[in-house]
Amino acid sequence: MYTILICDDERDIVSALEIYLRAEGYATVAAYNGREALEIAAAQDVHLALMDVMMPGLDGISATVQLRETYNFPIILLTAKSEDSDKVLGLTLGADDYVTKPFNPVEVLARVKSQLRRYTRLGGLEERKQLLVFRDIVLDDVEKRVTQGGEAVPLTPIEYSILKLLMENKNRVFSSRQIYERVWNDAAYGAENTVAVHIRHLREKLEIDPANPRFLKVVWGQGYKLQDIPEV
Amino acid sequence: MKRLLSSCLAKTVAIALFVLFSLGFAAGCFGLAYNFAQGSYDGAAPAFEDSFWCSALISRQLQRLSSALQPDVLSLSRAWTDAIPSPMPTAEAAGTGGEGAVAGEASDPTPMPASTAAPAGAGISAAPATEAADGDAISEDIAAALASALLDQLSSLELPQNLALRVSDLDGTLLYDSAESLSGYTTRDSWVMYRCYGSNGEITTFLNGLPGPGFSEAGWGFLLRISLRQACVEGDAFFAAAVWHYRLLAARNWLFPVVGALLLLCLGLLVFLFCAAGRRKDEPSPRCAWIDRIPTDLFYAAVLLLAFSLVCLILRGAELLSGSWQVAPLLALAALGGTALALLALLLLMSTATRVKTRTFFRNSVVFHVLRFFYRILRRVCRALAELFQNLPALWKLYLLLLGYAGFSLVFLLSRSGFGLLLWCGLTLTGLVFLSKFVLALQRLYAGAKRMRDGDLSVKIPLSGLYGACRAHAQCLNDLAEGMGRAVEARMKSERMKTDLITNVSHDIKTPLTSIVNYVDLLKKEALDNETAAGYVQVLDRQAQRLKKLTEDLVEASKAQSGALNVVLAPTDLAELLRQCAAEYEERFAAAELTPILTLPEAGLSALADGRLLFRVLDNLLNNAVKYALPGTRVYIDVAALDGQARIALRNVSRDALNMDPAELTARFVRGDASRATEGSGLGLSIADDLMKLQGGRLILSIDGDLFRADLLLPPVVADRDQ
Repeated sequence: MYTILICDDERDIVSALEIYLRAEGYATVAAYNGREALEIAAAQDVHLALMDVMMPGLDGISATVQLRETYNFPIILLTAKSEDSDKVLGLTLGADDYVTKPFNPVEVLARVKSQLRRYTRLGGLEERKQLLVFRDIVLDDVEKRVTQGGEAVPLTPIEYSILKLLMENKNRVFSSRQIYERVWNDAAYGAENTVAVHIRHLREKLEIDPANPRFLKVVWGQGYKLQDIPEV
Repeated sequence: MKRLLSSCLAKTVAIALFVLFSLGFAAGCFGLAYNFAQGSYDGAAPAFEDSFWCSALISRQLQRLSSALQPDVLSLSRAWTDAIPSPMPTAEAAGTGGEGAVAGEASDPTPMPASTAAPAGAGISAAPATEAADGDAISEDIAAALASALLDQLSSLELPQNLALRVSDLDGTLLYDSAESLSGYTTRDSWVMYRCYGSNGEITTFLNGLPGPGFSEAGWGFLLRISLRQACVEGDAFFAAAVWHYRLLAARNWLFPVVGALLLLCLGLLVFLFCAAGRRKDEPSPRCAWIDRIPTDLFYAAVLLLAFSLVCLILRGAELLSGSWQVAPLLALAALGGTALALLALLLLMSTATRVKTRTFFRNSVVFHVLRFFYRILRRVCRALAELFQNLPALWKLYLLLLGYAGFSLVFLLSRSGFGLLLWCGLTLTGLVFLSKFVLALQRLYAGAKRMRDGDLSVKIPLSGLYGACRAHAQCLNDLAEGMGRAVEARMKSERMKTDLITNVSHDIKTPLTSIVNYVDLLKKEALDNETAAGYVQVLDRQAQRLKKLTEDLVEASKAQSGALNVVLAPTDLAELLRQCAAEYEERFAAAELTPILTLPEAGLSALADGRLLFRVLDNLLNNAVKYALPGTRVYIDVAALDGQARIALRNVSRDALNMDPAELTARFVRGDASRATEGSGLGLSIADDLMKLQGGRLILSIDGDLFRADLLLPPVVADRDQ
């Protein structure tokens, strides 16, 4: 039973989120500004915080900074400000994820689950050479298995190969042609379309919101990469 | 002290004392002067007979006698002229030969010029004597007649008591003696009168001395000698004079301290009166009395005139009184006169003091008023001229100045004098100085303007030292800079407000929207028995989603339009990009029964673009194609290089009729479906258009019947690269 702190100055939003989260079986506690959030975090065990950014008194960013001084539970920012600069700021200062308003409740739930999995998973992984780890994705090259957050992800061989290529070269951009040549071991002659399709499938399987990928990024006009630096 | 100064009584007392002391001082000074002149400080005290006073009195007596004995000529004239052998020519006027200077050792202070009397207008005209009948003595009868007439006159004379008279003719014969014996009398050489009746009809008189050796005695004459009693008796001026002489002589030693003391006292009183001048009881500062209000120059003139007339009066009075040989009236006159003069002097001095204290000495004078009047006129004229000059157009001013310079130069140089040359040099130097100042001012203006042009709008050109047109110019520049600075600030502020607006408004809209979406979603999850209610919830859901999309589009459109987006241009492989897009839309095309056909160049084609923004544009267009294309048709997408530009072309067949101007489609909120029945905010193409512009490219739409075509043109291609 995890306790999730919901902090937003709009009471309706807080109530709605409480309904969703309780329906999933989480315990919730509400706060309406940054100060209250800090007090609650000090008073009881909190496993995750959903924090709005624009709040009177102590705003979300400052509260995140102060929480991070003492706690390291995941913080997901709820922001109506969709400016890139705001997202970068929040993530750099200690938040783990963000959701823009108006949000899809399903997406919020998925992110919460994902973050909690990461948080509560206690290390305990054997460092085997054939294991490639990226965030909560683990690729076992021996067994040719990919798990995300402990759950197995079914991938086709091509998708697996592409993922492995990207995980082996994190943050490096590969064009479709390069991916094709490496994965198919064949010169690319107009068959690059398939690469794009495979990447899209990968995205749909691994990302919570495929339309707004967090790590399997499309660099439009250049190629694709696996990104772990929080850069929007 | 102030009370003393302002008390009237004190002032009156001071004035009275001053008058007294000043009179005493004057008397003392007179005594001192008399003694000094007498030489009584050098040695022996001179006797009265040797004093000035005595000499003066004796001289006056001689004068009197001389004029008293004159008229005998009238009575004797006929006899005398009858006796003259030849008819007389016109008697010469006085001054020919007869001006005998006073002879000998006359140390008289008032030498009396000898007076020659012509026969007083008795109608005798005589021709100028060409031949002097000199040498002939006058006949004895005439002489005797003259002598007897003289004796008659002498006996009827009134002499002062202490004087004795002795008259003898030129031979030495005693003619007259007023006193029986001359013992106890003293005389001096200058106490004589000599008269000669010349054979040529002239009468020559010598007073206070005998004539010189050059004088020839032709005719009959007599010598009159005055003697003074040594011990004067009362009754005439000589006695009084003698008394005073000896008194002064006796007092000569203690005159000094007395005069000194009186002087100090006078000065002290004067100082006191100066301080007290103008002060009144109970008034803190001096005030002018009516007398002090008279203009200074008029006042001074009046007082001096008064003093002058007073002095004249006194002298006249003294003259009149001196005939009576009485000292007392003289003294009284002197005292009165002295008092009056002292008072006048005091008046003058005190009024001056008051004027000086109230600072009206110069201001309250006619001269000042006249000067001020002229000065005011001059000032007004100068001001008018200056204003006139100011209002002239600049060119006229220049010509006027040059003309003035030329004129003055001509005048100075043509005067051909060293001074003129100097003036001309001075004029030229002044001109040069002004010119240099003007040039420096221009430089200063230029420097300031340059700084303003280079962006520093806060700089201000200092106005000190600039005049006229330059000053106005500098003022204009400063105002300009200020205005521009304000405009720039306003613009920046408006920009900031715009971006803030976008963020804040979007935030303010999104917050309630979030709740709406959430609760509608929750409603959907609730089991609603009522079918209609469920239907309504569906509608709410749809509309909420639409609102959400619209809000996002709006924010994006306004960001794209205001240029608030961060555009990063980089060489972009268009083929790669289109492949990625096609992959994204693969399923959606399939769902809409559309077949995408891609035509990509063999070699890579790169254009300078922002990958993310370009994707959004393509996203828009492809989305439109999915929404509005006729199902079962093909969508053609090709990329090619055209005239140095990269072109992406998208063509599809529209499901609905599109009979409108393509340019309208990029306008905001214009939708192909005029009834707006389908989903879509109408902003898509507008956003795409703005995004293309931000990257330096263009979006061109064309409609041909049902064929919809979109062309994306991008800036010149960078060198192709092979990947």
